[in-house]
Amino acid sequence: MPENSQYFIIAYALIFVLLALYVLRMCLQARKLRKRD
Amino acid sequence: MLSKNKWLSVLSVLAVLAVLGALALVIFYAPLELTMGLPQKIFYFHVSSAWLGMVSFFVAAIGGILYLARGKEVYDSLSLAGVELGLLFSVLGTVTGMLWARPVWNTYWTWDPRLTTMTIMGFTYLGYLLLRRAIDSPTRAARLGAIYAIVGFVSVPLTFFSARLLRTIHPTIFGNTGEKMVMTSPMYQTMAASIVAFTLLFVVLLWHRVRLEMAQRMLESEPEEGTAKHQVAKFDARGEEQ
Repeated sequence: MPENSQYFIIAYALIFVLLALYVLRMCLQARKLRKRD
Repeated sequence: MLSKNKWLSVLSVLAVLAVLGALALVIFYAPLELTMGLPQKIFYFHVSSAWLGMVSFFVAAIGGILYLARGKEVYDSLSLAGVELGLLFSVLGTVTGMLWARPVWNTYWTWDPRLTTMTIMGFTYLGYLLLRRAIDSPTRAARLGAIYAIVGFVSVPLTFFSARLLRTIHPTIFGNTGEKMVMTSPMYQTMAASIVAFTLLFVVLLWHRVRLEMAQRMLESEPEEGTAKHQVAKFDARGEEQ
């Protein structure tokens, strides 16, 4: 493993986790709306 | 109310593939920088996120202008979605920047002009969301939100030019006068791919968010079944039939 690789891994993992959380929030909101509809 | 949109579905799949493709380029194609090593590769998604954050706030300001000019709810939804996504991408840009700074600057955070203006910009738009939640009347919230999104946009060029006009340790790539980052062709190609992929992702997320917001507003304008408001509406409708 190259030096300081942990920063690279954490940065990219965080990007995907935060994006996934935002998408999940939208999915939950859409499900709620479909139920009400 | 939330019907399937074929184009949006296709675009969503394309956006996911584009982001994964960009990630593959970052890992396998972009060369390792000699002095900074692997943490330098954070740069590709860091720049894309920060850039899209600013584009998003620009979209929010345009939405605000259009709402004030035409008064259609869809423009208010666009403005709200722009601020939300702008904050998301700005947080991504800031956090990845901090993780890049730790091994390179030997600190996660320093009150450099770019970092400071970025923080001011973030808090400015956080204020937008708080303002909207604090106002009960949707029309009033939309009108004040539109004005806030337009005035708040001042913080965006301030952030963008801070690394170009002020004394800073934050590197720039284009149109700079300060510290320039030297990049090879594969690095430029990877960066271009990342920006294109993130732009596609931004368009898809914005589209989804505006659709959701509009659907929610349409549902909220109809009274929920079983509530007193619904019974009054039913009673009124019967009266109109007779």
